Amino acid sequence: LLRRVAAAGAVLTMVGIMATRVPATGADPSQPIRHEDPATAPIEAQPGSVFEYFLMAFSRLNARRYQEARQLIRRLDRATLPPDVRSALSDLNDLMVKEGSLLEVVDRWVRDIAALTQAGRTADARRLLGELNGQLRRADLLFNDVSGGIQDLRGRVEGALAADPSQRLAFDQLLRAAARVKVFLVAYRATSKNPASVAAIGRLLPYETQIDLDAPQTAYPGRLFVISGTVRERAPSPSRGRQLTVYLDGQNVAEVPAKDFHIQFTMPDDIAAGEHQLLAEVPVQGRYLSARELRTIGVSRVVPDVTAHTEKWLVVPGRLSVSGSVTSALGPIQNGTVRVSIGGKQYQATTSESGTFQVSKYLPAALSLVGPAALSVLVLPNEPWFAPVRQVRNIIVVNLASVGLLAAILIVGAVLLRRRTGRRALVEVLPQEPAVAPATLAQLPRAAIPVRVIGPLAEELLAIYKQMLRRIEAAVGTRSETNTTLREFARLVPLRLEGDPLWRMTELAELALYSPHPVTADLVEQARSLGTQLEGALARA
Amino acid sequence: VLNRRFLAGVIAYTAVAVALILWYYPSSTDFAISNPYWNGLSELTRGFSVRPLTLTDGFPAESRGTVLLVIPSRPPQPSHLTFIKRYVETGGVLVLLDDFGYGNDVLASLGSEIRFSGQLLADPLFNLRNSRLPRILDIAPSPITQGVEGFILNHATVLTGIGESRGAALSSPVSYLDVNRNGRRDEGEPVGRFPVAGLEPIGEGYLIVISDPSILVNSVIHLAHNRRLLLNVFSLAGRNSRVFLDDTLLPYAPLDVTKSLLADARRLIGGSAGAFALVVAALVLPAVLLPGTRREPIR
Repeated sequence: LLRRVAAAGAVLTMVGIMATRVPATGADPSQPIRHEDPATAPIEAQPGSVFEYFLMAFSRLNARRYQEARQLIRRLDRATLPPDVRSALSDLNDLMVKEGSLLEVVDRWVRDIAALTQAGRTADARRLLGELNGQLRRADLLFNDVSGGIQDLRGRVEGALAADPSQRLAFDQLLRAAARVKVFLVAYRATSKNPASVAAIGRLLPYETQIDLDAPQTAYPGRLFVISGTVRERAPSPSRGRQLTVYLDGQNVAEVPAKDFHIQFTMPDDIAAGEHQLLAEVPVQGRYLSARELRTIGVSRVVPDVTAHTEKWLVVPGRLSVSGSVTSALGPIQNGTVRVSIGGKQYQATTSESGTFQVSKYLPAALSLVGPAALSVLVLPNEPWFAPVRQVRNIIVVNLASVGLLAAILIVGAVLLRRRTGRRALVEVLPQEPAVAPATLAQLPRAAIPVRVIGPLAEELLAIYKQMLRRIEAAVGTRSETNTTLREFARLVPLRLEGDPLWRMTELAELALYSPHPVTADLVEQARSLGTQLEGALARA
Repeated sequence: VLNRRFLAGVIAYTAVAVALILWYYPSSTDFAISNPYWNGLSELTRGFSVRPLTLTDGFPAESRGTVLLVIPSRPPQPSHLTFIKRYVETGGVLVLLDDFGYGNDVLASLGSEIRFSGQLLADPLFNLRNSRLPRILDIAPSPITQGVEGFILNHATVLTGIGESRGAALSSPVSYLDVNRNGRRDEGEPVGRFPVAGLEPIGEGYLIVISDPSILVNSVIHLAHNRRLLLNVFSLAGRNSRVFLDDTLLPYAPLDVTKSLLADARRLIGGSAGAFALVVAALVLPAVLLPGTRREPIR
């Protein structure tokens, strides 16, 4: 038996372990690979793409978007590149950032010289011109270094460039963009001899546009948001028909003429709390350059204070009573929805003008609601600028239905347990010799077979005992039931005699039934004598 | 009779032993919560106390203050989509993460215009080790990107129908869509900044779309500011938000199904009704199963 059980257990265990090895299903096998282990993923640097990136930075420089160009270049520090390319690139990045700054200064000074000349401040213009010359010399030298750096980089990534036509094309375009910068520098140097020629160059430059934006740092959903500012154009005459567009998270919220502006709009009710992007933008128009001003604003909701009162104990079925108030820095929360939930049941109330609420509902019997339970109070204010608030309290639920059912089951269980284990057994007396060999019987569990009486003396002794039982039943009225043991019966009989012959008779009957020793004639004689005593006693009684 | 009882006891014992083995044996299935390996979600589950939802009727009754992560690797049933829609419209935060699965079914059911492109995003310059592990550095101010300077994706796709200006995070200007998946940029393959994350209000709740579910797996979650991004996403539902993972749409192996069943059984037993049944069983079963002595009458 144990071997079988062990084998069954082993098979079940094997089935379990095999189940752990079955591959996953459910995903479409035609789907591409969804991920790879970053720790073991192959390193595949493509340094040629750096030229495409530089091309973008140069195009920003040429468009006089110096800050964007610098940001792009600085971000290259986080590119994945082979070590030798990285070191070369690091030097080149520094040169590019410096070159960009120099060009920005040159651009500004050329405009300033033009403005000073136009205003007749020739002395100031000449002084600035001297500084411009020095700046241009530095920019020119730096540009040579940048060109050398680009060529050095090209030498390091020659293989990658040869293999990728798009990267080769980007490199060629980069050289052209760099050449344009060089032309720009040469033209400035050639014309920076006197203020008049610089002013002439300055007059050819595109007009700068600048947005001065004044916006609050914090906004609230559903409330007005007011921004104001000015669009300034460094031009002899203002542009015509240009519009300033304001975007909130990429969505157009206002469009006004590009001059002094004052805009107010309502923040969306459903805008999420947190950082958001406010962008004001004026597009390019002819010689008028574009401008954009980006702001990060924080959207927040006012969190109300909730005070809720309830009992610590709750009897179910019974009445649930929760009361409290909801207030905020802006005053009480009026007409807000209050949802009270416990054990899957939900009850709703509305806050009054003073922000108070009261929930008093009947909780029906439910088996699932017993013991510690979470009582949730959720407040949903009407106004979008208030945040929903949840308060959870732990209470003890005494469930009468559960307690009653448990008690009933306890009683039934106890009765069953007592009936199964609380008694010794009576035995069946068989007058016949057992048909089956004793050796076979002895192998069976003792409780599985009735006790068999072997031998005529034992039968005679038991016959005396049974006869005496019948007489006692007839005389006293005590009956032996099917589940009464011999000793229980002896205790039940209300007959007490000197020497207790009934008890001794019971012991002899037990000997005849259970003892492995054979019953002797002497024991039979004792039984007969006890029987006589009992009969006499019964007759006297 | 005793033999049968003994046998039943031993089989029950073995079944419990097998159940314990299956419970504790780690899964190696993609995105499995009990998978402690590189492609599992054990770290997410532990770190953010994520609870799996194995049944659609297990959706939280009150969706406010909760976050539901959905990785639609299998086609969702219409009834399931209805549950998801109701969840988000009543105030829940739905985080839909997909690359090449069935995320567009969910988006269409929600009425959103955002879609997953289904093309592989590759970035030859800004990446972790190769172009298939792009590094996202172009972060727009948004509630989900506060304090995030960059994050890393793993075999991701991109979002369409959202526009560059509305994306909360964009790939680099040199990134491209590797349409034929040959690992290099070919003529005609789109290049530029692509949105990879977005936020949209739906009803009373919010939908957050991220074009790569692999951001959640054990080997990726700790890279760059990935964890910070997730923290922001989960905070959208409130300070003490409860996070659920929709287990029914994940890839599964028989081991995962068994684990799921065992988890359901555990939840059932852990409930008050289950505890009540256990008490009853503990009281009644010994009375029935204990070997009692036979009572025989005297004849």
